[in-house]
Amino acid sequence: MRLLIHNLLMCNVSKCDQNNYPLIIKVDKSIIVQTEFKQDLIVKLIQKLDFQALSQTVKSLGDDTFPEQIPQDFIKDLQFLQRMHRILYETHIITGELTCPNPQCQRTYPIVNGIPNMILTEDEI
Amino acid sequence: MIKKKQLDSCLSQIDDFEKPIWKLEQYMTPFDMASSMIQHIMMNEDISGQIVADLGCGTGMLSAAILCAGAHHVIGYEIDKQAADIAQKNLEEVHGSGFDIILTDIQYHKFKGQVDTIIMNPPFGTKNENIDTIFLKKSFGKTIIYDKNIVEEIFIHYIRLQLDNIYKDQENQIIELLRFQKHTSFHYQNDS
Repeated sequence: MRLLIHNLLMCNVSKCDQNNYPLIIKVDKSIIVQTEFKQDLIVKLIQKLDFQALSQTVKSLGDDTFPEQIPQDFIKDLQFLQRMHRILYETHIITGELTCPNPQCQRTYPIVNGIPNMILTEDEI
Repeated sequence: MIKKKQLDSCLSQIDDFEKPIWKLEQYMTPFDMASSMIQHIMMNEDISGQIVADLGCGTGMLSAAILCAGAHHVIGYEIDKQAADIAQKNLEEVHGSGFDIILTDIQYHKFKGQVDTIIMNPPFGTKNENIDTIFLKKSFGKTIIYDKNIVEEIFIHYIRLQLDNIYKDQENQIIELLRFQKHTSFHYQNDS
């Protein structure tokens, strides 16, 4: 699971409708797989993301220096763009867990073989 | 633009479901059909650089097709773990990278965010009535919020295919290829 995907996931439990995003990540195993950096595509993607959620998540994973907001001249900031590429496309979480931040819910979704399992039980739908 | 021969040879490597689950209407989209669908899409827009969602990706045939045709990244949504694992293997073999798979029930999945194009060859509803409508509804969003600042087109390409002999019900035929076009992008969220 890439962090790009994590940005699209919220707690699926039907009744959980507040404070259900972003999911808290616990990493057991992750790998970096290098892929081609495409500047214009990263720029496009950054504008579509929930950047606040990404920032929160990256910080929770130990990177204190990650910006809270998109830097003003980000389109020309190659260093920032390459960092975003590394974080969004090249970092794969192979094993771990996603936990709902809602204290009344805290449902955990496992990540196995790089695939997050968001399927609910009968009483959660 | 990729040639049909290259696309076909890329897709002929895709492995099928191991033991198709009758209740989920599992069958692999024939590779020439996937190829035709993707060529149709390519005639209407430039998929290079796009982020695409494949709803009900199965073993990854449509995802592989759109990746081979130049999409930047594909997100496959699939309910069956075995199919998802096969899809992962297939896509790794055929394309190496550029995809992610989410194991989920599309009926109850809360979608967030934006993609450029959604593709699917969903179940039809012979076993689970109205499931095809659910797939479509989830693509458009139950609650649609129009963001006036962004103008993009989201295409939904949908092939209807009748069940084949495995289920001993009907014959294998393409009924229709439906294409929906929306002129504003949307952020879609589950009704809450």
